[in-house]
Amino acid sequence: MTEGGHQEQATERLTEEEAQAYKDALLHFIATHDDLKEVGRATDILRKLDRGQRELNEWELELARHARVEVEAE
Amino acid sequence: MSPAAPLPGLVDHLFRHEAGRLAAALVRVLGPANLDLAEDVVQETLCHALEVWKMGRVPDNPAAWLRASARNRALDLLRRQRIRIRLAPEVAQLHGELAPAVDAVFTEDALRVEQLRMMFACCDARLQPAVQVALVLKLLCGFGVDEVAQAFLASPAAIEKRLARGKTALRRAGALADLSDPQLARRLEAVLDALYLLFNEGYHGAHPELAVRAELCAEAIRLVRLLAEDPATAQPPTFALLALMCLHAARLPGRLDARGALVPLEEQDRSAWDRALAAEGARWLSRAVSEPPTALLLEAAIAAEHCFAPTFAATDWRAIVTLYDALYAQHPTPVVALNRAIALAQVDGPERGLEELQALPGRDRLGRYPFYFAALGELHLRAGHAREAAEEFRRALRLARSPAERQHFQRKLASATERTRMRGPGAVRTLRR
Repeated sequence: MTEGGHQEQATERLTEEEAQAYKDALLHFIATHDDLKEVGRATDILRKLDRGQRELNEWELELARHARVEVEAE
Repeated sequence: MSPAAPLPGLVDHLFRHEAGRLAAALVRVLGPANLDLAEDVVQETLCHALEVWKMGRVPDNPAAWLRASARNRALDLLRRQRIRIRLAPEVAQLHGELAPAVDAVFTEDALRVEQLRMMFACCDARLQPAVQVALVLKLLCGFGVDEVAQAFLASPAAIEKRLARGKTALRRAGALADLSDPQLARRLEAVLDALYLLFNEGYHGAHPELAVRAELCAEAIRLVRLLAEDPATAQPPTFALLALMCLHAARLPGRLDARGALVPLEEQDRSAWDRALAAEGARWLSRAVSEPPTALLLEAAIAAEHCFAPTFAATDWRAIVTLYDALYAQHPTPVVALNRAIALAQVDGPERGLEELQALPGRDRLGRYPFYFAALGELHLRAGHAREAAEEFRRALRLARSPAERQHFQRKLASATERTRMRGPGAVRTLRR
């Protein structure tokens, strides 16, 4: 916990290659999921990566990884 | 995924086509009572696709992507709002899993059938023709309100009202048409009329800037093809309309010059005509034969005579006059009489054509139709009456409805005026010298 009680989130910096792989996986995720809340979150992450940001927080990474696992499973 | 698909062009075509298919499927899922909601889902799907594709890449099968996305949105909506909204009866009765029911309407075959059902709903004979076409453009062709307004030369507010009236009627209907209903054949004529109106709006509509709106013609052809390919609506009148549209649209590439001015038939570059579309028109025409021939069949046969004539001079004008005679017997309208007189002038000379035009039954109804005066001008010019020709072209010019028509009549007027000068006393003196 930080001083203000804010839950500090772990972030991870992605390489260009990883960012591209996540973008592809998120695109697939967006096209195939029917829970619009999840699709909305995936779109937010995609937007972030598209703007060139390479640091994803924990929940963003979790969703992006999940999307990659799904793509690889297909 | 495609690495670098041209997004704006793709979006124009794909979104226009898919919007209608998706709206029809979603109305099936959500019920006609939730027509606006179905349209919202389509809009959200298209907007989301545009955003996502800009960030990533355009999928290899963008239509399938849109369909999956619309299906997912519908499913999400149903899960969240199942209790709040009044659904289509078929969906409301479902107690188990929603997904199979939603999936069923997003198959290729179901999408085609739902578009047909929506087409019949939009073209309900109780609605005014202008309302029918506005609904077709909005719900089946993916046109925005502004685009529909542009097609009709009406204000967006007026179109909103027109669409609202149409949508209210659709909601009240409760369910879309059943294609297996034997009563459907009676309503086919109204559907064909509305689609013909849509095509005409593109082919020689009254748009202030554009003499031809090829996208309206293409949409009309797409929808009639759907009718022609479905067993319930694959009937001679459908084939005749499709033949007529294909044969007219085949000549569109030669109808305007590089500056957007209309090119008269005799001056058109026939090598620019779309031969594949003309051949398709001929195929549908061969299936359209009926006894007695319908007006649509006769119109298509006339279009075929023009389309397959090697040159303007080699056109079988006698056959065209005979076809116009038969058409006039069924539809004694001034425009049919006008076209017949023009064809007759090709057979028996301009003086004969002028006689016909000047004695045209119902010609008072052509007082605002520029091509009546242009035809008079043309025949006067051919008969060597340059002064009368100039006068008629001046009248046509005053009535021109688009820059393309204006340019065309100006050119004809200039040509008639030039001949007047050549034949004037000054010109004769010059020649004698």
